[in-house]
Amino acid sequence: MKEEHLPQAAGSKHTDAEGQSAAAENLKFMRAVVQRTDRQIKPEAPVIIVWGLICTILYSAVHFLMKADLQKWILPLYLTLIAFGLGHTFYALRQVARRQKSAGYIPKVPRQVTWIWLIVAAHILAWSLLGMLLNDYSAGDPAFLAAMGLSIALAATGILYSREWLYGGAGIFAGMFLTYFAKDYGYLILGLATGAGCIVPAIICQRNFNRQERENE
Amino acid sequence: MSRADQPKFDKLLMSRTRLGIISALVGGDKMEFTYLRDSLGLTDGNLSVQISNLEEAEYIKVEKVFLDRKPKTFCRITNRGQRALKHLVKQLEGLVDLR
Repeated sequence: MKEEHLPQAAGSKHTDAEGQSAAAENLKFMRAVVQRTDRQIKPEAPVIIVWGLICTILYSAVHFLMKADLQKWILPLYLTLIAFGLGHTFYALRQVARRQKSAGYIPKVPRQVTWIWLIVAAHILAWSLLGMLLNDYSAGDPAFLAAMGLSIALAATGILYSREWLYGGAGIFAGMFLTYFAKDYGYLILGLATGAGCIVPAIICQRNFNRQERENE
Repeated sequence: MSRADQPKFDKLLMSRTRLGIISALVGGDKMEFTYLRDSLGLTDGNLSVQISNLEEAEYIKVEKVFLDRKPKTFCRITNRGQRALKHLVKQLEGLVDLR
């Protein structure tokens, strides 16, 4: 690779001050370019809100189905809601990818966050389905596994993107802890904790994003 | 500091246009040709030439995708490009701070 000295003004005698000022100018230019090309990342809140609602409905239903001794309905309900959630998520992600491509800007953070969620979702689905289909829950209660997965994924999203998600993850963690002291209402507590843990940060992030967009205009 | 003592700069990055392109991509985001052109205020021809130069040096990677049957050219920085820019920033900071 060819290398060169710091550019000098034509015909001028080289001085330290000139080199220093040229270096500072280049650094300033780089910072300006980064600021100019950087765009706010949309939180894609509807996807997480849908999963929050699914968790709330599913866990609450599981609580009441268990109380009414109607366990046989749990698996069909689980499969229906999960299929709906996955369908909605893949459609939404397709739309996001399309929108980003047409805008000409594909940010890195959402790609990283999507991969984290996909890996966590694969774990939740694999161990939950295996447990329910084989009636072997040695990996843990599917509801508890899902809450743990969501809590981890939300915390990771909070670290990479915006800290509101981290609080959501912490809320779910607290809810999981609470189930040890209120075993009879465990599913109901998990449902409410996962629902709130997903929906509240999603709404806050979307609101912050909208406000920032308005200010930018 | 004499000219001989001055650090050697990467010639490829000492052009404002190329420095602008690589700085825009440094966060790891993928940017489309027209997005870069408009953000940096460049002409199609200039941007195209500078992208080719950076791609040749393996500082950026160019990907072509189709959207509604129209081709779109996306650029993203490579590890080599990241390293080169980090090295340049260190050199420039050294020049600004240590005198």
